[in-house]
Amino acid sequence: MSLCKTRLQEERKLWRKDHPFGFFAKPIKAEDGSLDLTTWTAGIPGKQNTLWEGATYPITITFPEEYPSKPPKVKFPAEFYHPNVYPSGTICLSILNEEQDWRPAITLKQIVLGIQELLTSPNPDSPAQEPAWRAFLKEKDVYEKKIKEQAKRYISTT
Amino acid sequence: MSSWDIEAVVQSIETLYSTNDPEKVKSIQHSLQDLQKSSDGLKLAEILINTESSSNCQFFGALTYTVVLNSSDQLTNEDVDQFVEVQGDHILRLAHNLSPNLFIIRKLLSNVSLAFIKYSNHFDSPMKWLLRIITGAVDEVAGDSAEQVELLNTLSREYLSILIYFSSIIVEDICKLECPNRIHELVVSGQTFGITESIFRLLGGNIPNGLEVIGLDCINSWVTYTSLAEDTSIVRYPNFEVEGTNTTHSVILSFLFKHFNVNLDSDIINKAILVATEIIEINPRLLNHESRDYLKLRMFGQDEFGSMYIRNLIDEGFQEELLTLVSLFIAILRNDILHLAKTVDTDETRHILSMLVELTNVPGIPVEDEQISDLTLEFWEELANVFIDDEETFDVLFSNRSKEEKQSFISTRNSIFEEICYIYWNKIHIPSDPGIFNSIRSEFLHYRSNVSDFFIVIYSLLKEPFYEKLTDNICTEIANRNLIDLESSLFLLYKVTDDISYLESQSSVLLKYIQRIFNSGLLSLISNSSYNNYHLYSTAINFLSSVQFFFKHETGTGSLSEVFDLLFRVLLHDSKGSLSLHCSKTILKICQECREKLVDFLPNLEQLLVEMLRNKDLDNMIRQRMVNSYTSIGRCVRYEKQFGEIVKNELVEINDRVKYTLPISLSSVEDDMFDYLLSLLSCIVEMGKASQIPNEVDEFFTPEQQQFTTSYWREDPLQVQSLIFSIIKQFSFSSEKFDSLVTEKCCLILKSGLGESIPGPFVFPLPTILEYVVMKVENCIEPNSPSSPSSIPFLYSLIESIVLTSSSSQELSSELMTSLLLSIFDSHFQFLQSDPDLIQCCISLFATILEKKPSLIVHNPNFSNSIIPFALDGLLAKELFVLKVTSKFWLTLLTLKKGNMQDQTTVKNLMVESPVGQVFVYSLIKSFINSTRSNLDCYYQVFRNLISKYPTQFKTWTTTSFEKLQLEKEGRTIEKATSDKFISKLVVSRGMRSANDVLKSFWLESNGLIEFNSRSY
Repeated sequence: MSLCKTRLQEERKLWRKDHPFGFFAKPIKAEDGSLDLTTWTAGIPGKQNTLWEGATYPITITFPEEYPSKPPKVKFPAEFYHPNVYPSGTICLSILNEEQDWRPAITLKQIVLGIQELLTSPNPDSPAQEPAWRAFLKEKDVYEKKIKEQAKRYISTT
Repeated sequence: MSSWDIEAVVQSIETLYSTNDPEKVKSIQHSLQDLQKSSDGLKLAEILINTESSSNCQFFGALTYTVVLNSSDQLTNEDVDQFVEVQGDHILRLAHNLSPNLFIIRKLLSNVSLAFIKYSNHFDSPMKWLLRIITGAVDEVAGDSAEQVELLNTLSREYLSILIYFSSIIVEDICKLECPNRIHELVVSGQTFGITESIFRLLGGNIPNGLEVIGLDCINSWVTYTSLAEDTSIVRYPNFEVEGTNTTHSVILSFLFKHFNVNLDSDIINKAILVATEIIEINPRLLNHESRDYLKLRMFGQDEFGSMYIRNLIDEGFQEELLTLVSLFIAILRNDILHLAKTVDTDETRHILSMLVELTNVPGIPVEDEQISDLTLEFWEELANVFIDDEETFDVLFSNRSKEEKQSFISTRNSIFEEICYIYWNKIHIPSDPGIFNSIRSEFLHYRSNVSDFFIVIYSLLKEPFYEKLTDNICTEIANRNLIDLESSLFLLYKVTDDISYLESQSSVLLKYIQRIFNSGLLSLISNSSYNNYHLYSTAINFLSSVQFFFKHETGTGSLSEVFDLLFRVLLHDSKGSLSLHCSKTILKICQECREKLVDFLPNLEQLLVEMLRNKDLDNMIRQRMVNSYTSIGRCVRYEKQFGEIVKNELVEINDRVKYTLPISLSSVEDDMFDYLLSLLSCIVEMGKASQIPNEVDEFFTPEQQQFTTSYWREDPLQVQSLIFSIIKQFSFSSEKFDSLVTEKCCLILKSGLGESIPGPFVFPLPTILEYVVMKVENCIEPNSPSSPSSIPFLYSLIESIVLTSSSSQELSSELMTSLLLSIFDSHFQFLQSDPDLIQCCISLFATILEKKPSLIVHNPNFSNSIIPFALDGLLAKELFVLKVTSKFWLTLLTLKKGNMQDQTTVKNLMVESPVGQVFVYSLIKSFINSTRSNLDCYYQVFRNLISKYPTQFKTWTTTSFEKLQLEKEGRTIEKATSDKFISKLVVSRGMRSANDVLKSFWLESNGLIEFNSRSY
């Protein structure tokens, strides 16, 4: 088994054993019902007492063959409203960037917690999309309205 | 502190341990620390440890010894001996009254341990040292275990306990502090482990009262330590012995196993169970095969400790102890899970699993009354996954068995999981007491979600028959009108279905089961139940959302009417609650997926929609989703006259609402009303999205329909587009408040038809869109107008979208673009230059035009007069986002991939025959040198393309640029020799990848920096 697959099996075990409250993450299923460990769907709950609360934001995590030497690509749905999310939905976060803070030891749990943190604490120095970034810096009231509207779209189901 | 008064010090220490004032604590700590670290530290320690009237002072004295030891750079061997001897004297003196002095003794023991860690070259056998001073042995303590036991046997219980404490302290300190790997070898060679083992050998015979817990704690410390020692040194502790011993159970394990006795105190048993769990989880190598088997037998054997103790704990209701025991069970089984899976059909494994099944089924509400089932859930899921993930192992296993044996194995396995599923199905019933439920709500829902994950795994294993069973249960529960059971079953079925239904091959096999559920009267039962059954409604809505593949199929279409009745009823009943948001999401999903089947519903939906557009109290998101749902279905009538009327009626209703509600200015409305009005505008955005042709035009329309559609919308007899524009204008020029939000919506409406290959209600003529853009930009820039400059990026982005979608259209001509840019760019050049956001949106538009259709601007005289200077200024920006688009602009201009011959010639002439090329290179170099390291990537491609595209001019341009920079003497001076070398290297690179390194090295050199390796992990 490749290093990538071994590590992903391990990540899956670790996740099942211990994952943060309110989050979910699982590999997608292939046509024959088997698991495709290289692509996961996951949900990031918005932190309580923030504009993001009450919703679970969907992401897809794609692991390259070179994982864990290279980081996974993590995407929200296209057009997701956040200063550090590209229009395609790709997340701009230093721990997901090979040239920046990615380390092979970073676990799935750390990634999703990092993304949850990013939701409420955008990095104004790394704009990935214009509208959200501009509103975040210059029109806070517009930004808040849009985040609240988005939270309704992804309201958590019980 | 040069002089000190012991009485004052004693007073300070007493105050330190009694005051609650943090400021006072801080101040006392500060002055005492100074004293401890002074040359009088040792003297102070000596006085304090002898202050028998105060335990606080004695402890502080022991602590002062620690400070002295830590502050000393390098003690001589004599100093170490003396230090240790002093600690020993105090330990012996205080040991006469062990209990009250224990905390002081422990600190003194820790000081000795620290001396060992710091000075192990000289002081390498701390346990031996303590045993010698405790026994008063004149001779060296023997290394032979029997002799050590004989010596230990002469000691009192107090001295034995001090030895055990010391053994724990030494290994705990080694774990805490950074120690050289050599220390682990000394732990063995210096008899620290050997004497500890001898103590356990002695205790194994007859454990003196009170030493059980200390002994077990000591083992616990050693478990953690051995893991560290084995990871970082060559020392090994197989079977909790030094390598090579090879007994059935080591004395330490024998001591531990002795406590698995139901007649002992439950606290002691519990401690032993915790220690055993630690061993398995932290360092299972401490158990050899025999020890593992023995432990397994003691826990799972018939009438053995495990089964007897479970009974006691359940009878007594000791939840915490039970949880500890189950954790040990799971740890043991998890360690051997493959074997367990391979032997599920044997009596032994069946017995073990049945014990765990029984524990899983412990009575009570999960989270509230019991945590065991949550603990076991993880194990069951892991066991199920073994069967799924290790398929090859089972193929090998079955290859040696007959068909019948294989069938019997599978049947046993399946029945075990079915039994477990039944238990969990029962466990996830929503607690009937709302008080209890609300107090554990999120934890309980999390538990439910974990259970549903388990069911998903079980479906992967048991496949269709499992789904069938779940369906059967639901049908029975519907027949029995058992809503509580129904909710649990439906919840699990929804989760399993949701997980697989996106795969058509998987969902098609489920159709018949879903049909049975609908035929059993699910919808009428739910419709007739009270709205108080929140969870039943919520689950049912989620279930309906997960089976949209069924509604899409001809078997399910018949249920749609009843489904919509239910969903709309809930939605209108709970217009502001979360249930209605779920409902609207489900309705939208069904309408988008099954739109073709829903055309007959349009008249009924229209009535509901009108109500929703008028109802200001309805959640805005719901209103928008309903408009999208209705329009999506409307789009499928494929008869434009009817579709036109549908769209027109919606717009008329929206327009009426706007007219009725909107005062002269949006700025004067209250927040709630503003949100409602904005939602009406968003509804038009949704209409625009839903009006798009869902697939290829040729697949969607017949040729006749295409023809009719085209002529219908060109004529637009109902004036739909002018109505849309009228609404847009009402909003666009009346809102100071949230103007950018309004503009964004308006632009989205105008964008929604771009790229459509056939006319439609939202496919606007280009001049009409541009007219709006020009008006709005003017308004944004005009002082005291209601529009805000923050709206401009949306307007530019709209033009960018036009360029992206219509670059091949004849309508988009250079004349049109020239006239447009004159109005929105040239006339406001200075204003647009004043804000990085505006600079960015302008350059981004130009870059997109150059990328898609350069002829739109490159021949325009204003290209060199205003666009080029604007883009040159972009190079001076410090903001990365501006630099990125500016770099894209120049790169695209240099490559001009979509440019025709004429475009290429014009640009080349501009670069070479006018000063543009020279000025550009000067600005580029200046910007590059002054850039930050993180922005360098923006420049590489530009330089490389410049070199390859203008090889003959490049050298002249760069040389002249450096000369100019030299004259300006701005920033750092670059020597001519340096710049010449740089230029030569760049030219030699011919724009290949190696140019990146040349550029990076030059940047580092010109900024006086060196390369560092950021990938240092």
